[in-house]
Amino acid sequence: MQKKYSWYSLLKAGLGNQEWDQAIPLSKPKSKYDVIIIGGGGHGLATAYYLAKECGITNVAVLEKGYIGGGNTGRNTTIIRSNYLRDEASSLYEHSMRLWEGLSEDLNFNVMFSQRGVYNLGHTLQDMRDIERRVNANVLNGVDAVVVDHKEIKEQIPIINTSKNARYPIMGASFQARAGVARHDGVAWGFARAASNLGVDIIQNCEVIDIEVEEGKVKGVKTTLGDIMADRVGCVSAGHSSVVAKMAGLRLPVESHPLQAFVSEAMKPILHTVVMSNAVHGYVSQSDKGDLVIGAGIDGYNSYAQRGSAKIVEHCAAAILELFPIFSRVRMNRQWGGIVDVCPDACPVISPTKVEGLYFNCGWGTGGFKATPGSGNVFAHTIAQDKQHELAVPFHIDRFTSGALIDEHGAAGVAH
Amino acid sequence: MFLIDCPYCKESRDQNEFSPAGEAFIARPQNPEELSDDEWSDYVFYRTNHKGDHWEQWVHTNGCRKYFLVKRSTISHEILEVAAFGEVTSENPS
Amino acid sequence: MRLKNHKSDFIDQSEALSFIFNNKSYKGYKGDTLASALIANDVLFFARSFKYGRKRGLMGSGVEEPNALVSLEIGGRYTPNLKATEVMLYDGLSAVSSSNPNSIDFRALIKPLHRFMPAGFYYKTFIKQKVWAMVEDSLRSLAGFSKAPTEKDEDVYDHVFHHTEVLVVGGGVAGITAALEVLNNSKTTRVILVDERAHLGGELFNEFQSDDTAISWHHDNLSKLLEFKNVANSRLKIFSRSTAYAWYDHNYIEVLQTNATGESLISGGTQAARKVLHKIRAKEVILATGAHERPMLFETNDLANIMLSQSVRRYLNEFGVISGKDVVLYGNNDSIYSTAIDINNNEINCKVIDIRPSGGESETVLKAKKLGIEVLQGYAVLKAHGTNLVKGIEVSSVEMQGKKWRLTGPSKRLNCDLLASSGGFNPVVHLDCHCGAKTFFDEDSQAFLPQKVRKNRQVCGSISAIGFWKDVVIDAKNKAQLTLLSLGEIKKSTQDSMSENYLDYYNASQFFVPIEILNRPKVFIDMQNDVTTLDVALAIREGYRSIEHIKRYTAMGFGTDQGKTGNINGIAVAAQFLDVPLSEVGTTTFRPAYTGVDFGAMAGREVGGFFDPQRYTTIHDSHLESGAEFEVVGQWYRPWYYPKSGEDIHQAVNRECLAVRTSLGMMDASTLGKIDVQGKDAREFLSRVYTNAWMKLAPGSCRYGLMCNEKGMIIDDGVSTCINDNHFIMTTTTGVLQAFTLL
Repeated sequence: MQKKYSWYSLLKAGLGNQEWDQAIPLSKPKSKYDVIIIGGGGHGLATAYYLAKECGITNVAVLEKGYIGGGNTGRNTTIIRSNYLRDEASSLYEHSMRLWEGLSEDLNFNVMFSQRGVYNLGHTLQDMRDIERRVNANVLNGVDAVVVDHKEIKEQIPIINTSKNARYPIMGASFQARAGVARHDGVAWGFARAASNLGVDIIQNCEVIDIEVEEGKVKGVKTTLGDIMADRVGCVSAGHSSVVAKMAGLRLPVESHPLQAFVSEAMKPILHTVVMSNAVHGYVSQSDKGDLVIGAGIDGYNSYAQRGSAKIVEHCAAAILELFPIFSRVRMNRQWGGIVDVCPDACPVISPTKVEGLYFNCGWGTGGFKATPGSGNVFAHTIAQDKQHELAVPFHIDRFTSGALIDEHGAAGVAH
Repeated sequence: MFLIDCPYCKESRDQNEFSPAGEAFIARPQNPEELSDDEWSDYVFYRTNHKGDHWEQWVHTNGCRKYFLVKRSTISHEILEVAAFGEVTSENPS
Repeated sequence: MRLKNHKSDFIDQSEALSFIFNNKSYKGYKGDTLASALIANDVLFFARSFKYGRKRGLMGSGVEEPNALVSLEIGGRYTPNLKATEVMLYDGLSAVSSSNPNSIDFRALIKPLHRFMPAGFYYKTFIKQKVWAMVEDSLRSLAGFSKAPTEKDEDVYDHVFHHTEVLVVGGGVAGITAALEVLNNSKTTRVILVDERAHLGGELFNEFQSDDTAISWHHDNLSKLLEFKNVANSRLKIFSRSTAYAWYDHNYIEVLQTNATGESLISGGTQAARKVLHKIRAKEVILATGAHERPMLFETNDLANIMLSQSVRRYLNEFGVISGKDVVLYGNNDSIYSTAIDINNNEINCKVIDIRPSGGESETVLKAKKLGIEVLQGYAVLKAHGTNLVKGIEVSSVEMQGKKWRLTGPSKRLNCDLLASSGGFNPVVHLDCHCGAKTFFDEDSQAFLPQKVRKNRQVCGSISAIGFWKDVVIDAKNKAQLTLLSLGEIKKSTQDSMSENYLDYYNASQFFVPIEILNRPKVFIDMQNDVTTLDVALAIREGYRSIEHIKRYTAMGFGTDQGKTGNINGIAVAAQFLDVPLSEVGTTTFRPAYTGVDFGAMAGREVGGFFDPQRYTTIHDSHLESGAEFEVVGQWYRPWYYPKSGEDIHQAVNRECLAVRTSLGMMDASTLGKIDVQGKDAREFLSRVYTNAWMKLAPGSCRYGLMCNEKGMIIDDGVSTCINDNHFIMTTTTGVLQAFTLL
């Protein structure tokens, strides 16, 4: 058992009377596990944690080809909200939101979940009609949401440009008070530490190069560190899901695209909440360190290169200036890209596959971070019971055959 | 920011002039009514999403407005081949 | 202080400029940077540090500076987080430290508690959600550098597009040579040369004091460049004060140019851009980006007046200023001797502490000794003494045992008031890595070098760990020849050989210092984020072993300097604690921007009314006359309702409805998409794009249609009219029109 983080342990360590335990112990792969999770991002680590904590399956390995949290978990703009339009999606994201609200305590690791609220701006009459419809749906689903007008936005965010003469004037917004941001790396590390504390092996620098399938059943995986057997394999590899699926002879209804983000240099606090705008293609919050964290749009072409086009970020900068003209002399410090796996209906796949014992959790597109605990939770139960968790049922891969899509393009955040 | 050779305009132009238009060589089934749900689903939703050299369609949006084929690496973004529709490419399925 | 009788090509002592820093007035000269002018005025403290609130002075002289962050001006020209080293002085300049070094600081007050605040402190504390919610905002206010701007920018920014055969990045010896070599050997090749400094020449100016051939070389080659530039239809463009900050796919490079003063230019009623973003597409790129010096590590190495050796040298030679009278140079390579010689020439007391043992000295070392400069070889600095400002150092003899340094002797104290160190040079590989290229650790030069071969790109000069400027000239010519070959301008390239010891500055410099030193407290790696060697050690002990984890756990390299002085040292420290070779640790990922880019410059002119085109219908004026309120649909402005005075929207709409019911209404539908469908299959076409039936619609009739994509999602609706069997007029919705016609 690892020592708990507390003021007392901090005091002891500061006085030199205690050494910290390894939060992410080095593990060597065993030859066989009950469950293998491919992908050591937030979702994969959360899956392993809930398998161990809630499903009693602790003989679990998380295989990560690089370092944990190094993919989209460590690249996203960390926005957390649950104000989705459809019942199926909002139930899943709200499940996640409730887990977020107790996550730091549950993991004994401060993931810095900060409920500073999220505004989704509307700039046209149609935007406002959509916003009202979505907020009504949210309220019916027990998700906190309100419609606010431009005066209230100005009161809450005095630096925002609510001029009627703006190219896309702000007419109003939906506001979710319980929404906010979290420290992305901390989420990966917190889940990893808590999972390994329960007996899960987290194996880094271990790339899966093939999936062993015999007579339609999964047998294990081949990795750069050797063969590892398991009757159940959960794949949570985001942008690389298609590549992993191919190893098992499967195709997925996802395409991988670059999604870009950038941060400014750190400044004193100026923006206390999260502002998103689909119409002008940008969203922004200010981190605890003081930098503006800004998300841009998606590039339309397929890519695995973790970088995108200049025009996307430049247009995004223009969009941010449309909302906040005072940021013109603020400087971009760093920009990067992640590879997101986008589903045709902007909703994820949490599902068994045609290969027995092989499960996929993918297709989160541009908004997977907010779902991290919920996604891991329902996926863990899906793997443990070999039966979809009730919240995961609508996200079966068969919906692309049956036609029961869950269209969330409107609420998914980034304009498609 | 790619530099793309439009096979119709015969010029190298900035990516800003073009729009990507999805994976290439996806033929619409001749008789949709005769397809099973699985086959139709595969046509509509499933893509190879290949990591490596990949054939895709682009359209010269702010130029000739025509669609054409591009073979591009999804790893390095290098463009390896460009062709107009109907032109023979290194990998054109008949 | 500013040296008397110092001749500088950069400082115009006939033009004095007054400026204000932290509410005090000072004087400098034209050509000064804010940093050099403040050194001249004996200002030593520039800011307080991020985490511990420690008083900090200057460390560098350029983009690598981590400490001296200031904000400039007020109101619409207020600019946060500028490095004092990159702000050119102008008359009336007003600057404020991002964190005032002269005020009492909470972070510094809680100094006894710092030991309880290790790296990762916040992950281990405030774990209860309610408690975190209560404290988070007060913790936020402690972080951040300058205050954010509060007013709209009064300046404008331009984007300019260029196409060129060759782009040369860096205007030092390598860049100048490469550009000239290309121009001389081709009649048509166009060249763009960009350089971040105000004057072309890079580090060569440092050789002027001791090497007359450097002066004549600079003069001759600059004249040749200007000959190419100052002709009609010149093939050469030179952009100074311009930084290539991002490299995108297919040799597309973005360069940010700051105008002469770094401020707005408004003259004769026209407003010139404060900054210009050059968007350059080049067939071939030559990177001559140079190298950044890294500091040596020792305890309390963050006191004011502990600087980089090359920076001290540059301040002295270019600006005629120095911030001490009793200088110690400390390092592991010959460059510290060159700095010592220049300081000595200015009759300032200095001594050299070289961690390397005696024996096998180069000409430069022998020259320094001959000049009577005191030299201690085989010694390491353990600690700097002084509160806030360096007053002395503790040194001890060291020895290399196997591949590791060990302390051998008792320590002794030396006095000094300025300590300049050099731990070697880090090639500026940033730009090269933005687009997927990798670095590799080269054992010979002990440096992370750019990937050896890359299509349509050459590297030359100190980015390849070539130290001596005459070797750089040869290297740059060789590489330019390869560029010409790739362009097809020559059939065969000539390659000359460099001197045998071309790795001079590099070969002796290695990364390690005795591990006893790294185990001391307050050995700062990243000044801006207050990351120490012990933070790195702790991260590793807690299982954060990947260099990316170490970076993210300790915040090393997260600052506005992007770890230019600290990151490579951090990697070396990690390697030492992990006991693995540097090559195994690797680097973190290099991403744009190499230096900060104003959001305004990224957006260019596409702000305000130009953010997106505005489209009006032909009867827009008539809507205006009727007092219409408009709604935005796509790019169109469509009349929404027509309020008469005192009416709200509902009253206006009710009146309009009544008018339509009782007399006549007209709708301006001209914003809708209009597609003229003609031909014998027109009906069949409509039947295929819409979900409903069109085969029986009679001429003169119209019908509402619903459009789905293959995924079964509705993408549009509209009314289409049958003119005759072979002719239909189809309308699409306003918002969708653009998507239809653009796709």
